[in-house]
Amino acid sequence: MRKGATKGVAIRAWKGDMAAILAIEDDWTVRTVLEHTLSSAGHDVDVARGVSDGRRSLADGHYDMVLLDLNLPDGNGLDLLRDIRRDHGADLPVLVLSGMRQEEAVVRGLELGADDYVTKPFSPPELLARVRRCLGR
Amino acid sequence: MWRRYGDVAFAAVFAIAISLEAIPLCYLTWTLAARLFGNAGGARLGSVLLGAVGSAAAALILVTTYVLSYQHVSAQHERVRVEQRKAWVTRWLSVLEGSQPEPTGTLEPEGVQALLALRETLRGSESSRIAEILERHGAVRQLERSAGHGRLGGRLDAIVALSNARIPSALPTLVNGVYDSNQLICVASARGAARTLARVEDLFDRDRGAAALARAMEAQELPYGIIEEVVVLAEDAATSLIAVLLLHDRPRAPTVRAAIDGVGRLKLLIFAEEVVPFLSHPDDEVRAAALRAVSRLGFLPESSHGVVIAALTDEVDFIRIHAAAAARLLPRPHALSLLSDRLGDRSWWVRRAAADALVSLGPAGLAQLGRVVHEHPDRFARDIAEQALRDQMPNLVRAVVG
Amino acid sequence: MSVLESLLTAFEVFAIVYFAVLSLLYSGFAFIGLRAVILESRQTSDTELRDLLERDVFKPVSVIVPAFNEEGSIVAAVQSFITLHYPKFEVIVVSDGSTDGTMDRLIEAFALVEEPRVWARTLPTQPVTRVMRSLREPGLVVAEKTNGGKADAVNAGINLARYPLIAPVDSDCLLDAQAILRATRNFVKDDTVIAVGGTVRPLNGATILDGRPAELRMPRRWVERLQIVEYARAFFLGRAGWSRMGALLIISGAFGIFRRDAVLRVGGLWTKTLGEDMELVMRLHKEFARARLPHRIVFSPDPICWTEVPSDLPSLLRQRSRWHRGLWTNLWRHKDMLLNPRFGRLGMFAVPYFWLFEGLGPIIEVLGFVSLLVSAALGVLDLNVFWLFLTLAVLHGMVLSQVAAGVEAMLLQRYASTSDRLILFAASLVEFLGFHQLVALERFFATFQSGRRRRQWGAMPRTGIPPASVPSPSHVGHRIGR
Repeated sequence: MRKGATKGVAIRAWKGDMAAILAIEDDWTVRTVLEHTLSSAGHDVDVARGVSDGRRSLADGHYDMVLLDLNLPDGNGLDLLRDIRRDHGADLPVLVLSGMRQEEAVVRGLELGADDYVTKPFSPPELLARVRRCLGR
Repeated sequence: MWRRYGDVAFAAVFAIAISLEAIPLCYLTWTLAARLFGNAGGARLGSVLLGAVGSAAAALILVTTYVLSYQHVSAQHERVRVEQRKAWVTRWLSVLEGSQPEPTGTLEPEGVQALLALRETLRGSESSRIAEILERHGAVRQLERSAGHGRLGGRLDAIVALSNARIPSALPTLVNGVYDSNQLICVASARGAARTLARVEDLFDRDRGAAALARAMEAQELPYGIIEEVVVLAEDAATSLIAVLLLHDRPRAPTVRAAIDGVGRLKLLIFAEEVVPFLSHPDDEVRAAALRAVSRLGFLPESSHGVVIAALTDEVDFIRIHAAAAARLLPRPHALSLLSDRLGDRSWWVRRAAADALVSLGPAGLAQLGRVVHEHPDRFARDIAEQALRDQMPNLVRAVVG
Repeated sequence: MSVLESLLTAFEVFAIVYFAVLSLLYSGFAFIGLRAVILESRQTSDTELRDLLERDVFKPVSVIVPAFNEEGSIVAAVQSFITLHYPKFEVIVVSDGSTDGTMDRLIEAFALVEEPRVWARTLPTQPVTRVMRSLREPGLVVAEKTNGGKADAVNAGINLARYPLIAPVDSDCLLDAQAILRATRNFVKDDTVIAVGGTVRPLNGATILDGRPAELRMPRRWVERLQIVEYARAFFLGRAGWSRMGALLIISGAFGIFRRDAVLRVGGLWTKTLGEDMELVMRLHKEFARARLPHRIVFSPDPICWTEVPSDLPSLLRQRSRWHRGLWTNLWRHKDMLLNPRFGRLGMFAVPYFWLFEGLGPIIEVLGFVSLLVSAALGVLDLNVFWLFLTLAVLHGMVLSQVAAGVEAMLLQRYASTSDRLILFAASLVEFLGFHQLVALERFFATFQSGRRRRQWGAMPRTGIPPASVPSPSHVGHRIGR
């Protein structure tokens, strides 16, 4: 994790394939899968367990991309998404994770500025492809 | 919320502690009774009390020692388990990728747990491979055995594990579990069977499985809420399940209600015609469910208009409420005037439902509400129409302002 | 032996037998309670909850929060309620004629606007002067009414409620994020359930992070520590046991969920008792038994409601006095249930138990103490017997307390450090060496004051939920009332 960046400025510092990604997810299995999948692909992964944890991480470090679960125990992922767009503009790619049958939440997320979405259960190669595509924007 | 181990030991410790207390207490009472009826024995009383005190002290030491050790052991155990699970999940992911070989022989419990967790999380070919691995290592058979007998806690854990695993071959075991006399096992098995059914690909097997599950649920007379959950959990297999539940020979009211609600909730238009006859069912709840479903599906054939119109003036409150929601499917002029009438209903909830239904009719409905505010003779009708219009303000503002 | 001496002996024997029977009974249904907790803990798996949330299968709930002069903590409290991890619910705050800044704080914090709202006035209450709705939180409703007491405020809330389940909650409670979700499972699994009570745990000593208890530590005052032990015993052993036997008489006013139609059927809460929560449950039992309708009132150990308990002795004693007066009012009002087979286990077992051991208990204890003094004065006190008996009573109490502590250790969120555990042990000892006796004395006096009408809102100096630890409304979680 690269510390020291000020809040509100997201500098795209990654070169090539390696990106600093923050995964905000409360389910430990999903977290482990995300960590493993993304780090195997060469990315630098940090995890946060909920909304407040996520906010802290975003404030402390800077990331090239955020994976955000919409079903977090201590708050609404959509609110956090709104705040991310407010603080980091459109430069920080966000991919939202949702459960099944949550089309409304996904639509809302896309309206609020999410770049892409993945529903759980998901396929790791598909997730990686979407991450790559978001980063390549 | 709870730790699921050590409960048997704890119950045993408490049972011993109770005996250590109860037996001397009974003896004490008996001694006192004897004393009252003539037998002198002050000294005896003292020694009995002393024994009781010693016994109680032993009970206290026993319980306290157990609690403190449990605290310590469980904290350790959990730290280790978290690390183990993470290691297993990472290992399985590597196996699925192909960068590590699959472990041989029987799997450790943590390994099985990790696989089950992954089965929930992953989709597609990875998920199918996990199912294969579970079967190959005999984990599924093991779980089926545990689900069938043993103490309640262990059985429930196994059923939940099978529920997560969703292995089609385990469906018969789970359906069998529904017939169990213990309510907890029965309900957990029903849910597990529904989740498993969702993954059965072969349509013929799916229909057969659905029929078996439906039979079991009927035999056990499960409550409405559980059947509703089962229907929802069955996901794509819900159609098979609902078909069996609705077309049953003489279905119970809760079953039919749950099936109809499932139709409405999942918007299964293929059952729209099957639902319509239930609009005239003798059971009030079933009729209400049918009205709800019809409203959600947006399907009301002309032949049923009369039934809905009649339901608007039914004696039972909740029938009128759902009839109001369904009334919006009537031909526009009828809908507007009938719903306006309902705005003057004696029940506040019916009035609210009628107002909501008018709002859902769009500009025509809003215009009608406006007319009601000015012209309706009933004061309550005018009030609720006004409130309904007011409630629409945030939407209007959002639509305009964005 | 003189007559007095014989009387004293007889009474002492009676007291010992009373204690023995009470001890046996309590241990018996504590064991039943323990088994119930162990089984219940397996009922709702995390998968189940996740399934429900993802698939929209749940029952909507109206949370009713009666409040009176709570300007210090009301905003934080309402904040925590509206961020509950529940898909569909509304929060109805009812200010019962607050004379301080309660309403002003709420108006400011949640952008409340008044609206001429139409609602069903099914239950008679003191007039509601205004109903306000929040521009920011669509599911928040705040009503202001003429003072009428807590029960009256809850009734007004019920009138405003739109969902089939109502959950009256004390305003100083923090609800566990999944509390309501777990509690409502009971209504889904069994159509006959009309009310569910949950576990209440003292919040004192816990660090609060983002409006939720994050880490549990023992508070510093003994008064608070004792109550932690007490609550664990009362809920995990006491109520769990009664519930399992189908004879639950009390659902805590701090947290309970009821079917709205059932509460309306019996006419809402009774405003003339200090124990309106228990009184409602008794009346529900009575009415449904009279109508021969199958019904269950259950205690669920899962849902957790965190509340701030009195941290000084005078407040605590006032609270216990209030509870005891409420108890007697209720027992007396429903004396027709006593030993009445029509009410099954409730009438034949629970109600008599409460009469004999909860209601009359303090009297017997105090009389016992008095007879002790008299015996000592007369020189007929057998010191040996006295000390042994006292030790026995203390040990029995401690065993139950430790069993309750053991159940608490099985919770995922528990007092984790060993020193805290040892303090719990010490607290269970201290409880029976003075604290319990003081409370008994207070309850003894309260028995003779039951006729006296007192304010329902107990004045308790509250430290309140520190607002700094709760994020401001703009950062809040769940949107409610969708």
